[in-house]
Amino acid sequence: MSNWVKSICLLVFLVFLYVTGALIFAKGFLLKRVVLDKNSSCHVDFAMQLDQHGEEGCWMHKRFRKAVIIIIDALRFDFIHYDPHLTRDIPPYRNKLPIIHKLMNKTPNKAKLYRFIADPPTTTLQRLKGLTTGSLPTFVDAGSNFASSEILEDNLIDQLVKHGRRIKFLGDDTWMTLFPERFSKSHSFPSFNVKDLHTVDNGILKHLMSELRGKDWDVLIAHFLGVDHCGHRYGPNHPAMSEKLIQMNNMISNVTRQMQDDTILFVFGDHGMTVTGDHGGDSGDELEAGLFVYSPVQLTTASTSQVEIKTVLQTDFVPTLALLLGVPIPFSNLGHIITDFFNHCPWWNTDINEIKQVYHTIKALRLNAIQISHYLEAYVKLSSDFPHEKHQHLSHLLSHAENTLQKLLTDMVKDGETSRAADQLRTLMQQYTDYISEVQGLCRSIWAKFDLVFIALGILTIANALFLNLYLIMHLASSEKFEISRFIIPMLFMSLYTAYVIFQALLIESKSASFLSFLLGTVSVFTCIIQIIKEKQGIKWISSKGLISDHFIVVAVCGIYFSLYFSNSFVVYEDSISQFVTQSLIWIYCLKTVSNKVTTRIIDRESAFTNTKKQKRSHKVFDILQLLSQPAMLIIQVTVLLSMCIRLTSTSRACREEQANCSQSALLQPLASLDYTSSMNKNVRYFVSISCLGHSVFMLWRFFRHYGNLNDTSLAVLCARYGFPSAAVCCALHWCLQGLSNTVLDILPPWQQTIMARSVYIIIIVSLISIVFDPLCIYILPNEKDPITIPVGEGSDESVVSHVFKQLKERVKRQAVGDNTDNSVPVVFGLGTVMTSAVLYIGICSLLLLNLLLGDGLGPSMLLVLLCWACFLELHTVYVGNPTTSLSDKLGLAVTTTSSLCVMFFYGTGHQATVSSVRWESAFTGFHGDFQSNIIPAVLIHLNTFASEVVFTALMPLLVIWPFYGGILRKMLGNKKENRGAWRGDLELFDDKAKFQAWMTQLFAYVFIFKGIRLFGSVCAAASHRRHLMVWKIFAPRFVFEALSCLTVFSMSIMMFLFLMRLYRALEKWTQRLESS
Amino acid sequence: MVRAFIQRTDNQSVVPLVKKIVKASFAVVLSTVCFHVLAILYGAPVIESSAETFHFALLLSVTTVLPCICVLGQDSYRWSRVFLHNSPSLGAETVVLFTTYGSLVGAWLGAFPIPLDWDRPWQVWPISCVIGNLIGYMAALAVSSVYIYHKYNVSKKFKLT
Repeated sequence: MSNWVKSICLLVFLVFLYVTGALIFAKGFLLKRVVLDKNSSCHVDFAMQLDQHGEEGCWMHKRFRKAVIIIIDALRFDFIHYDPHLTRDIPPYRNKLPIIHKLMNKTPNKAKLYRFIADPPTTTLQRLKGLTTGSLPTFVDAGSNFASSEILEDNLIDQLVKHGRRIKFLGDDTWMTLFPERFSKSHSFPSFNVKDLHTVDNGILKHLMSELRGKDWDVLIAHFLGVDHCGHRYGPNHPAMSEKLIQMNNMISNVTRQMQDDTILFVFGDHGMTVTGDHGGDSGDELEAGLFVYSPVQLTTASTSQVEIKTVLQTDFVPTLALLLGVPIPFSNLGHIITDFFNHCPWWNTDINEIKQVYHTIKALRLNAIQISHYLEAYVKLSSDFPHEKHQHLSHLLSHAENTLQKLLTDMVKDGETSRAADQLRTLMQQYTDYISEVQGLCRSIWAKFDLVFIALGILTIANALFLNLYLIMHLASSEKFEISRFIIPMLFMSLYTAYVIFQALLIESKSASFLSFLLGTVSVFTCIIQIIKEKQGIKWISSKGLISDHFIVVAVCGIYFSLYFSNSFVVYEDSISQFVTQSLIWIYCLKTVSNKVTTRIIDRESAFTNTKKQKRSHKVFDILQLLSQPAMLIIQVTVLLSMCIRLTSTSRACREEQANCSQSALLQPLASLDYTSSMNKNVRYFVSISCLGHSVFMLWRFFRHYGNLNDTSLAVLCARYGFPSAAVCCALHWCLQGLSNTVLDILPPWQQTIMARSVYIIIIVSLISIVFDPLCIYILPNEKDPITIPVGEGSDESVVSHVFKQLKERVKRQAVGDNTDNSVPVVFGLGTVMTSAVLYIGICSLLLLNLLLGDGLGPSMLLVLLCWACFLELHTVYVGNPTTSLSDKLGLAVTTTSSLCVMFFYGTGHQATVSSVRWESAFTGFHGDFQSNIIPAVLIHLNTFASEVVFTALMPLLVIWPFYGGILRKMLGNKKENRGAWRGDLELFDDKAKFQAWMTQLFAYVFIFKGIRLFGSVCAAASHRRHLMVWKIFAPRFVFEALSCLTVFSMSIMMFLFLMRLYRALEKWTQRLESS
Repeated sequence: MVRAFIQRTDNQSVVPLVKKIVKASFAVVLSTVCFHVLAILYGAPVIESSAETFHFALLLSVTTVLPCICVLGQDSYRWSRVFLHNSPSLGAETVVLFTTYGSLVGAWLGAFPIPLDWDRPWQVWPISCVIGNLIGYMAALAVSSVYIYHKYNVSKKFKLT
């Protein structure tokens, strides 16, 4: 087994440990609610007293025969709420639904408007679950948005179907996957293509009126998507939004005109949207949707004033509709009926009698409370995590209310309806309401209850991985040779431990087995620590020059990044903090490099010091060029450039809602949504982006050409020569298409909209496959004996002719003598950068792909990534000096700095660690919506989100290779004495096989430990702050993003390591072939 | 320090003294501009509160560059000996080295409380950095005096034995 295989085994084992730890932690931390499969039935004992009036229903009489439910996706409350005082500067989304205002003014007791509060996460699928089952969501639900599957819990639709109601459905096809084969008739339309504002809505509108007129339905559901898609595409502040809302207004007014007396209408949004038009998180704008209820007959005793608009929860919709339509409330509902609709009963002349109003409401409320108590009983039986005394207290509350009700009823029969009875009934109503809200509160807190055993085991596993990683680093730092035998004992313990933990997590649910796993975990950590202590002497804490040592800086920076996660405000402002830390690192790097460089020079000149001093005195002329070309000044210039690049990334940052006075970068808006009112000119932005893309590709292309890596005719080289520029052109054209307005774009057939992006995909896939097959971008000049050299750039053409003539003459002469010994060395192009070019090749591929996915606004940001890398590599090369001796000491700081840059560019590419800032639209680059599977969009969105991780990990091997290749800055600084022999470039690395492999392992071990410490930090912070107010808003998303980012870095690292292995093998084979021939 | 500066130039005419003062003030202004740019690079807002940033930069250069110029003069060799080799002579040079690093580190650490949500009036750029800078400067003064005393004692002991 070669050393390469050993290292990759070790690295894969580390990845395995980290990933297992994260997964186990997630299992304990992101708890799921137990889904009960019980259903409510129609005939129950608690609803025995038959109503003497109304039509027969299940638990209560049926108030309405028919219901029309219109869901307008992302209908925020202020979209639906009409403000007559608003006269000037009306935003496009305000006051566009005047029909609602009109109905409420005309018939205040037939129309009601509510704030309709959603539970986070505010994604459509989760909201639909909440709106039909009435249960509360948990954090995990958010992840399954793409893979929507059938709802198995008892829900409103099932209850309606079971009791013979025919449901017609129109609109978003998410419903069809949630409720397959429930609807008697349906017209569903694909929902995923957010660019498409009209297909779904126009499809619904085409059928809605005719279906409404038909007699074959009891419940009609229409789910419009246009407003949501418009928000995603343009944001709420766009004329398209007002068009869309006016269309909705017309639709609602048509529907209300068509309605008959036995019908009730619900119009609501399933969630709101942020200022940018996105949703998914839990900010006020996203949570606050609007609900409008209307019926041609009287709905409520209009005693409540109109001005005050009540707030109801989205789960409240479920019991309300169920009781109004006379079906049982779904079993696991936790909603509270909207009492306004139960205080009026047309058959019981409630209008004149207040006691009747309240009593009627109480009857409904009581059914609701008893249903909830049944659910609670069933849940307590199944799961042990309800506190017993709390449960007792709750059942006591309910029985108390029941007793009071009985007493009141008997009193009322005895004494008649007194005025005191009304007050008593009102307090009783309050008791039921209190009961329900207390159960809701309890359930919310219980479903955020964590499995501490798995949390602790997850942390322990990650700690195991960290210690093994640390040991690997120390081992490599102290003894350049890599011996796997030392790792066997800790690895054995750890694999035993993880195997046991996985077994426990998957098979045994009981908690008694956990003691053994804790024991095993601690033992394996200790074996690792013992090994580390043995190896300790390899680390020097204070460097010989008295400056702070590299190790100290690395530890300090890792400490900052670790402890950052424990403060919510640091997590919120992580973008600025990572920039601050990175800048500090860069300047420390600069200082260290300058001091290294200048001290060596001063030692050189110490003897001749007095002379130079005198010379300086005589040199009175101030020469700025000479000053600027001083070595220290050159280094500082590079650092300033790097520093400026880092500062510029802040122009393309996204905003978290918690960040005060932060304005979203205009670069993140889609090009199409920019118009004359916005601050940024469309054309300027587009051409700047194109030039950035062009420059980044051209820079790398020039590098390849300059070092002769573009001379071969293999597929990989051809891809580099022609493929990359054409991919860049395709990418630019794709951006151009995206900049067109929607109406223009829709004229084009789908294949024309996607062809450009798809061709970029094809070019990149082909180049990646070809570079893996043939990773050497070199060209052997055909072995022509005695080649004729043509001097370039020396004098005129005539001298060239004479030169060639001279050579020909010599050749003829030699042939006459008969000198035929062939001792020519083969001429190979691009050998000096054979490794650099292979790594850069992968770099360009990922850069092009990410440019396409990130969209045109972030083109400059990707150029900045490249510039940062170039500057940093130059700095690093100078800092390292002679790579063969000092590289392994200096790799730690370099990796820490680049990893810190990587963290910063996560924010610099327009992301934040929140669900609402995920750029979902990137799933449509090159695809027109309507995916068969969820894999492609998931991969595209993942790549977009973790763009910086991908490109940074792909370029990471350059930290080892570039110091050998040399770079420009070192050439400018280098004294002539160093350049003994010919420049061999990174082929020098090939000389010492063991060292190259050890360096690469060390590099990735550093990459892993940096990521591992961050993962550990996020895990520990999430665990210790699990009762924090902001846990679901800040710490849990931060953990999820960190885990995914780690996964990206780990998998990319493994792939890069395999690629380097392949490159090395290919080079080995090539040299063997060369020697044999 | 200033006295030392003047003493050294005592026996010369006034013109070089003026020249030196002009050069030193030029250096302070230049370093203030550098610190201002550096503060922006580290994440300070570019346009808004630029007056505050400038004052912070001025303070920083007064606590770091000005004492160094006063003590070390224009001698590049002395500068490199103190800052690159970290081998200052016991006395003013040590104090200058300590205070320079102390005030820089203090200002750097002062940036960390800014994002915290404690809602204190001093958590505003650049107040906390100014405070950090001054604390760092003073702490460095104290530490350097202790250090010099300690070193002086040690060297005296060696001389005695």
